Amino acid sequence: MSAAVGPYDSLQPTSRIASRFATRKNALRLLSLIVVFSVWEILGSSNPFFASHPLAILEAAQADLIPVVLPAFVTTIIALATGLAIATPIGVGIGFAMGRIRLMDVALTPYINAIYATPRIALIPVLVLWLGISFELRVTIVALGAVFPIIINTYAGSKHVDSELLDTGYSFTANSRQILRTIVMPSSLPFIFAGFRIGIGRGVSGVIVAEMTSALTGLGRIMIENAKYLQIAEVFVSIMVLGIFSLFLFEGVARVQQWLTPWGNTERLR
Amino acid sequence: MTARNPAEIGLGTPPLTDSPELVASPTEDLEVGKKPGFLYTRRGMFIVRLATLVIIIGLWEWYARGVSPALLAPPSRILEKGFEMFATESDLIPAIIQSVGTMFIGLALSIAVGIPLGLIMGRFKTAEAVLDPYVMFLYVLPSVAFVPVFVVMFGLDIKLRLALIFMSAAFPLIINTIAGVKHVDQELIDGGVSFTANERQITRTILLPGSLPFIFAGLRIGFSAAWVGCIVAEMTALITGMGGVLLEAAARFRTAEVFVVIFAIMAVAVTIQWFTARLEYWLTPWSRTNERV
Repeated sequence: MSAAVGPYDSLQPTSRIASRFATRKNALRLLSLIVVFSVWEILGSSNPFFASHPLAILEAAQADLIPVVLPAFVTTIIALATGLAIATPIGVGIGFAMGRIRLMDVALTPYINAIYATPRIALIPVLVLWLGISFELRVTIVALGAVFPIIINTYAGSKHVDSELLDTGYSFTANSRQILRTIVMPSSLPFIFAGFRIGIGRGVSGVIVAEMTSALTGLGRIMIENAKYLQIAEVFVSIMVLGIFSLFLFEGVARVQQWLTPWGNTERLR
Repeated sequence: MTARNPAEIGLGTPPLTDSPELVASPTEDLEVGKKPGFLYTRRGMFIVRLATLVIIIGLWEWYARGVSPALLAPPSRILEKGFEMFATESDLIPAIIQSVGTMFIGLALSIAVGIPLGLIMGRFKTAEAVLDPYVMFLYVLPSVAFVPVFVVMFGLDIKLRLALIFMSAAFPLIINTIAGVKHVDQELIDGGVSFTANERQITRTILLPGSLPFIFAGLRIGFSAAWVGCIVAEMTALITGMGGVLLEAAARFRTAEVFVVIFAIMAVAVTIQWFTARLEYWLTPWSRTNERV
């Protein structure tokens, strides 16, 4: 790290330096990707059962991606989307109710926090008893994973409303519905998005675990099946699909958030 | 890369506490000179919470008595079973020790790797440019996805659990540490550089204290993630520890036992949350707000 560019070179913020650094950054990234994949290829191909290697993964992807992985992935996504569609309105509703109604707040906060901290995976055995190894099981796991971060963030958002805005609203005789719709809701939207993002992450990992432990379809199931026959390259195909999907989802929600709530100054959330 | 603070990536939303300072919203304080209502006193809050608990448990008891004990156990039965499992020589207590112990080892590994790596990536743009794609990929990828690969790589061993805990806990820590380092006041660093502080001194006396609140935000997430990772590993691959006891009880339709284990897992999780909040309160006195945790 001899040529490391320390943070203090930002003292001269000329665009020339910035653009030169951007090129250098991309070159470095490319170089590191090449190095990492070569090392993985060399280490992996000498011991194919251990961790597979990029060429084998590419080969497996060619054979498996369209006929096997994608259909399984679609079932996973459907369960995920349904679960999120159920969790979001419920979470936002309960979050606002807790944020605005003191009785709800006092009564529910400790229990919501306790359930939020608990790994929802632990509920899978009970849910299997109630719902079987069905589509409903996976949807329930996703919804349970996603609803609590959404509740907690909506609640936090409705508590962090700038009091000057509220005072102004009251001074101009806004009624409580107007206050909620025009001040509280917009200012808590960035928080709701933050909760939604955490919820997505928990939903994805929940649906994969549910499929691994108790389902006959889906990406999690495919991964377990492949691992059983020591087809590690095929497992990596699923991992890559899942990782790329998660990255796009993660970035996508952030973009949508920036576009929908340009007023959400993220610096102030801390 | 654009500014990346924990709040932006949906991580740093403040933890919710029970403290009345935090939950009292500004609108309700508008009426000046009014005595604090019943719901704002400690006694009132306690009574309401107790009432909620009684209602939940009462409804559960009433409903569970009507359905098959294999599907849902009533709270009275769960309590009885809980006493039995903790008092007698059951598998539960060794399982708790095993799971929590493994989690702490895995967490220690994550901290030992995550914080230094985060400091390096936050400080040096070159390191960040090189490592950022991998860290980001592994951060957003659910760590569960590695279970099948780890089973083949490590076998059904403690190494599998440690690897999964590491995968779950290390990346939130790295990302929050990076955000913390970037959040440190540039003038402090410039001041240090002007007075010829070397890199070690800058790290120890400026970067580390300055980013500690962010590191704690990461630690809080990492701590719970480690616990989830541990339970997941036990339930999907190894059938030992608390996850194992849980699965075994469920396989025999001993629903009361299942709920005892679930509540034990919950108790560990809540203790972890409380413990990290306390630790943060003690270690970062400069970022204390007036709320007590």
